[in-house]
Parts: sequence; structure tokens; C-alpha cells
Amino acid sequence: MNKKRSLPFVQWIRLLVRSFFLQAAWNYENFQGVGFAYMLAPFLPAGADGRAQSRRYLQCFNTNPYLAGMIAGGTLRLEEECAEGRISTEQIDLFRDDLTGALGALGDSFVWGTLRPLAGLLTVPAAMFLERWAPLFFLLLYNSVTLGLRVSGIVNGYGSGLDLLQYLKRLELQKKMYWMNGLTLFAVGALMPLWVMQVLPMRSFAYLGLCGFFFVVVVGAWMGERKRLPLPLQVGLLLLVSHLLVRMGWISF
Amino acid sequence: MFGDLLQIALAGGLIGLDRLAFGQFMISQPIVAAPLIGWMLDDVHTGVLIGVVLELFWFRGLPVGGYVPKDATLSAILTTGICLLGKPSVSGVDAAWLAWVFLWVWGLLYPIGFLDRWLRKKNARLIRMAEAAPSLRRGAGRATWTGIGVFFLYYFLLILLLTGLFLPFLRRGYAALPETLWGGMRFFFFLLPSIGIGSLIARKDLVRGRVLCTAGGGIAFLLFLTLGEAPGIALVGLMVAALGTVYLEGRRKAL
Repeated sequence: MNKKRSLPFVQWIRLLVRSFFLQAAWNYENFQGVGFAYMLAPFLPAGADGRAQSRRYLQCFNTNPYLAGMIAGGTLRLEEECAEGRISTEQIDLFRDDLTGALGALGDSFVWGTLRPLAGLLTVPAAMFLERWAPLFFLLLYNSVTLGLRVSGIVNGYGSGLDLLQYLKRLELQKKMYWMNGLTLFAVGALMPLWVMQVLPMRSFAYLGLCGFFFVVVVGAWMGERKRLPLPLQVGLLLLVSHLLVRMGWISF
Repeated sequence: MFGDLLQIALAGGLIGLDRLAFGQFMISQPIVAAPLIGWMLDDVHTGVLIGVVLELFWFRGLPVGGYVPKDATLSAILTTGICLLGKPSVSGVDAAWLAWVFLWVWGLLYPIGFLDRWLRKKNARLIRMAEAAPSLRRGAGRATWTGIGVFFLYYFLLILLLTGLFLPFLRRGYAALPETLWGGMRFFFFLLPSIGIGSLIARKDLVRGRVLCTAGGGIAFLLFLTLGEAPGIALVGLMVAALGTVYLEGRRKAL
């Protein structure tokens, strides 16, 4: 249905750099609306009425910042088609509004719910063994994925236009999340004994005991979270238990 | 001292931009921000330690939709800054001191949350600013750069004021603490990551395969540590077995 289109390389870079400013004016009225307008403004077809453009682009816009480029690329493509008289501005606005919610939900659970904790967990061993290189390790791990998402989102959003959903389907983010969640829990399992190693030498009975205790505390925190126990109460309980155990001489710290 | 404080506030302003306004490259995550502040104050080791603990603790709270979680970035910058600028002994940093500072900074995040929300509400003025301009390009540009400036100032001033005000108070308070509390505080700091890890697990759909994954990870690591070299193979074997179980469970569900 849509012809494959492209932009000059410099334009891609400009669009990418501008996408970094998406949240610069984040507010509770139009969320990332100003940032989205800033991202697209120089690329919109010339000749349109400035005020009318402002009214359309300063609407509410709230999605995951890493997937916003997809909507920006698609919107840009549709604006060009609109200038050629092939579609209406209403169709563009509908396209944008429909995608913000869907990509927001998908991106939030992929990036914030899955990728970020996994990158954090994988960085903990790096922090213990490589120390000062750990932040770099985290940044490389995290940004190699998110930068890929940003670049491919802009390029494919522009290339696909109204067929963007097909591209999203090909990305198979749900499937990737499924695997990453398995890996996250594997890393959680490995992290607990590794963390205890920080304070006690391994191969001792006390080491195994403390591993077990740490595991019990994690299970307690998990149950507290499921029962919606407020964080101050969780922290207070942890402080109390730590103090009592040391005071009673069960654990020496 | 004031030079260091200014340096931290400037760096904090830039790091805060990553969280709020520019890029989201995650320089603002505690595991990056805390070592960075530690490096500026010549103690990367403590920075990394604080970074790891806070990274794991702040697994809870996702910025989903319009929800703004507690500020993990500010928590990392303030905790590291105050801990290193005000450490009671020159030889090293006691985990009890880290826990003491963490608790106060964490308590401060609640009133700061109101300030954060107020600022974001006030940011609606930037929309009017953009609308008032003759063209979208000019208006959006002006509003965006004003937003960047506002967010930078917000972090810069907050870090400068809070570190400056709380540092002497926390140092004096810590010195007045009975020593019997110190052991408990050290143990508390060591246990802090469990809250974040528990919260992370609570968000996952714990099907049997995934529970096996967690157990597989723990057992594989323990084997790797206790048996020496060979268990590299055991580690890989267990990993494959655990992930294989997840895969089979997923396939069975799909069928």
C-alpha cells in the first residue's frame, strides 16, 4: 500500500537528536506534547498555517520515550502524504493518538519493567568484579538496546507510515519480554548468593545460613509487595529486624 | 568543601536532566550516578557500593503513563555526596553511616515528591509559551529550552541546598547515636536490596518455569563457587535446563 520512502542521512540524525528532548517540557497538561512538537517542527511541510500547526501539535502526547520516534517517523510520513493531498489531517491526528497509548503500554513494560531491571541485575556482578567499569557496562548494555529501538523506530516509522503496526508485529517485543523475564529471574537467583559473598567468605556454614536468611527476607518483601504494604512500613520492619538480630547476638555485624 | 559541593550540584543538575528532560540514557540510574559522584570525590569504591544497593532497592516504582515514582536519582546523588563529604573517619566509610544517610535522604524524598509534582504542574506554562509564538518551530524550541533550564536549576539548587543544610546535621546526629545501633544499621544496609528484589519478583508472572529459573540461578552460582572450575559446565547446563523449562511451559500455553 505504501511506497518505501527515506530521508537524507543528516535529517535522520537531526530527528534522532531532537527525539532526545521529548521530555524537556514534561507537564501534567499535555505531557510530552511540547517535546513532540519540538522534535517534528523543522521537518513539517512548509506553507502550513503556524497557529493551526501549533494547535494540532501541542495536544496531549504521552508515550514511552524510546518508542516515540516510531510515531514521529510515521507522523512525518503522513504529513508528507497529506501535503500531497492523499490523506487528511484528521487521519494523521487519529494515527498519532491511537499509537501513543498502545506504544506507551508496550514500551513501558518492555523498557521500564523488563530491560532496565535486567540491565541493573547484570551490572551487579560487574560492579563487584570490575568496580569502576560497572557504570559503563550498564550504559552499554542498556543503550545498545534503546538506541537501536530509537533509530529503527524513526526509520521504520517513516518507512511504514500507516503500516506501522506490521513493523511492530515483526519486532516481537512480547516474545522478547517473555525470555528476558526468565533471564531476570535467573539473575535474581544468582545474585542472592553473590551479594552475601560481599560480607561473608563462601564455603562456610554461616555463609549458607546468611544466604538462606537473605532469601527469606526477599520472600517477605515479595509478600509485602503483593499485600500492598507501604514502603515506609517495609523499611521500618527491615530496620527493626536487623537491629533485633544484631542486638540478640544472632548475627555479628 | 564548598568547591566540592558546587561540583556535585553542577554534576547533579546535568545527571538530573537525564532523568527528567534530556536523553534518558540512564546516566541518572543509581548504579551510574552514584559511582560518578564517588569518582568526583575520589572514592569510586563507596560510590559503586551505594550505587548497587540503591539500584536494587529502587527496582520498585516504574514511570508508567503519567505516574512519577520516587526520585532514585536524587536519592543516589544526595546519599553519595553527603556520605563522602561528611564521612566520620578518613580511613573508610562505615556501612552504618551509609544506612544513616540513606534513611534521611529517603525520608526527604516524600516532601520532594510534592515539589516535583508542583514543578511539573507549573510546566504547563510552557505550553502557553509555545502557543504564543508565531510559528510552531520557534514556540516549541523556546519552551523546550526553557524546560531544560528549569529542570537543571531544580536539581542544581535542590542538591546544593539539601547537601549543604543536612550535612552538618546528619554528621552530628550520627555521632550522637549509641554505638549499639551501628551493627543493626550495617546489617540493614546489607539487607536493603531485598526490598527492591522482592518488588521486582512480585511484578513478574511467577509460572513454575520462572521459579525454576530463579532456583537454577542460585544453585548454579553456588555450584560455581563451591566446586571450582568444572561447574562452568554445570552453570551452563542449569541455565539451559531452567530456560528450557520456561520455553516448554510457554509452548504448552501457546498450544
